[in-house]
Amino acid sequence: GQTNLTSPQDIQVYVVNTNFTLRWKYTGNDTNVTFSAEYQWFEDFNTDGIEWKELPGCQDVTHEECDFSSAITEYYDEYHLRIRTERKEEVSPWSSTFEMIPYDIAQIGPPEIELQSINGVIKIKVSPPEANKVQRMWVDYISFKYNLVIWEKSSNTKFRNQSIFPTDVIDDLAPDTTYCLKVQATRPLESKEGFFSPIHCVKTTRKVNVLFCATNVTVLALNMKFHLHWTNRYKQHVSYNVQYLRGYLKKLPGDYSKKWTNVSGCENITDTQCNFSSIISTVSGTFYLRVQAMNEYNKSCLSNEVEVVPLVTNEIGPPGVKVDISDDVLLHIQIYPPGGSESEVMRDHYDLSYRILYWDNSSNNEEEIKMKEIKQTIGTISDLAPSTLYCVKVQTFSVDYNKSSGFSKEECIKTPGGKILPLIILATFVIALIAVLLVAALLGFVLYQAYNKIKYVFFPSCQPPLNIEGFGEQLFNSPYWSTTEEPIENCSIIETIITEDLSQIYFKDYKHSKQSSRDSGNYSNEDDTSGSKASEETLEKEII
Amino acid sequence: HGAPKLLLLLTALNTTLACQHLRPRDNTFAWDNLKILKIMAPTPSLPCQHYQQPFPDILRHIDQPQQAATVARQILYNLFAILSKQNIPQHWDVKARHDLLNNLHHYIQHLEHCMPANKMLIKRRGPRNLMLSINKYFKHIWDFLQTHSYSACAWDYVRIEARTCLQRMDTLIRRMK
Repeated sequence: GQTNLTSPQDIQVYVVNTNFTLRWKYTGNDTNVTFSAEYQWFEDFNTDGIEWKELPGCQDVTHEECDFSSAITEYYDEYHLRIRTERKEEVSPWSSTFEMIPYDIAQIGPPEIELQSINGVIKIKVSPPEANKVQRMWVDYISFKYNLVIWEKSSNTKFRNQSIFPTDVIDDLAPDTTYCLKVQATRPLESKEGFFSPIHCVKTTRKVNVLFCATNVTVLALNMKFHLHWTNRYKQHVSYNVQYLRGYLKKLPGDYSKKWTNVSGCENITDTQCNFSSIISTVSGTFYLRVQAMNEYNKSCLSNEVEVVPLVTNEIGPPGVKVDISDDVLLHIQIYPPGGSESEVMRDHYDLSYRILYWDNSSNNEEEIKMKEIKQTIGTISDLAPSTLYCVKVQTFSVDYNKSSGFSKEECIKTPGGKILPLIILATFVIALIAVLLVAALLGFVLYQAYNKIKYVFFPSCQPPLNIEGFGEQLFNSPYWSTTEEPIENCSIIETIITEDLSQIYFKDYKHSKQSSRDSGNYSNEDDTSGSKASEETLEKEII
Repeated sequence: HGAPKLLLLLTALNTTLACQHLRPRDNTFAWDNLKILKIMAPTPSLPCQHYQQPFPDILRHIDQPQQAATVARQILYNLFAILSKQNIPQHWDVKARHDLLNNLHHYIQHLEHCMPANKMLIKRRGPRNLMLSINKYFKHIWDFLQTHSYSACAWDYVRIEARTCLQRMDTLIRRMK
């Protein structure tokens, strides 16, 4: 029956791999007590009417912990646990129920490690937790990520953390130095970090530089054609084997060093380059490559590894370009994707786009270069001036992979003249014609007027004064008196008469005027003769 | 309450934008690998008797791309682990197997880099139970292989389950966008 026995308190469950430990605290004063536990198993989250069963490994336990690993088989189901104190027939009330899903609270146990110090580096081999166990908590042991902590034994403070593969090489170490290290397995997906392995210490050897090793191993890839290049300072009697390893193999536990395979076509070669496109069978995935150099004494040396991620390592080449022009001043650009036979692969995975650059090449000044981006392989440009030489060049690019190729060759083409141009020419011609006609007419008119004036000045028409009527009219009508004899004679006679008359008239006038002005004074002939000269002078003034 | 949610949203947005080159492969991943699976493991001439366990309802409780990515990684990890066992049947095509494993591994790495697991998203009971169901499903396959001593028929069962996995993966991948 129930008495005053204190129930166990603070129930905890510790799970490391598949080892289940129940722990509790007993705060009562009573001695000679034992503890027994019960559990419920909710298969597939079914919570209806499950009975409490005795927990094997936790019956009549004297210490404050027990191992109940044998009871738990399903690690993804929910279990409830409870425990009580017992003494002979007395039992305490049941403790509070501890609810758990084994996988949730399970911790990753420590891995095992093997070390090998060779040629200045440390080769490490990690065995996953639960290796070779039949019953496993971590069924998919592949997804473990291993975390290495390494430090120099002499200085306990310089720690280095790095992520390693199950089989890996730790380089970047000082020679002839003792290093200590420990490794833990982690499951990033569940944010779990396991227990560290015991600490192992090892001393590095001195690094031996083998002369004939291949160095500067680099990958050059264009349009999915992959080439490996390397150099070698020691050129005599060295042959090479290029080897590759599929990336995922590094992820698997166990030694992958035997899994390196020779690249066909690059075995026993003397050339320092290799075309390894044939081994890139999947576009996604990682590949590692290395060069094994052999000298004449059959001694070999392995180069550093190079990692190749096909779509990232590969570079895209420029496309082929062909231009054409249509009558309505539209420039058509036909683009041939890069890669030839491999172009489909590149197109599928890179999601290629094309950048077209075009500019006016007919003018010599630095015109601005215009750009158009398209995804299709046919582009059309419409904002073009007629009768102009345009040049085009195209570049391939991939937004997703942030890659762009070089530019294609420039292709130039001239746009045809527009319909407007002939009209302009015609209009200009007509206007010019009209203008010329106008100017000619004006000039003609001006010349005519000038001619008339000249004729008037140099060859004036002779008209007699009005008071000489009829006499000279007939004779005066003809402007050229010298043409006929008759008129000449007449003109000459007339001329003398006129001059005399004229002078007489003038003198008469003068006399009149003189007389009129000097009405009161005497006027003698002598004065007249002398005065005639003087009067001529004054007459001139009057005439003037 | 608001701040963690906002942080989650920003993280999700950032990674989705950062890993745009996931997208071209998304559409063909499942289909490409189903083809390779067919080449690797042909249908046996003599039919095997199989108990087929129901595939977990992976689309339930998945309402965020990062959750879908976490579930996808879980499935792919498990599939990768089983198919990379040393004792696969001899009549399976070696090169196709290499290709399939390389593809699975590469895609897993991609998901790890572009959509890192977020524990917050799996805290709720629904998604958490889903992760556990997936683990349970695969554990059953492991146990089956072991119980049947890695026989040809046992591996054929694996082939059928792998095919189901990849078919469901396609739907899951669409949820990741």
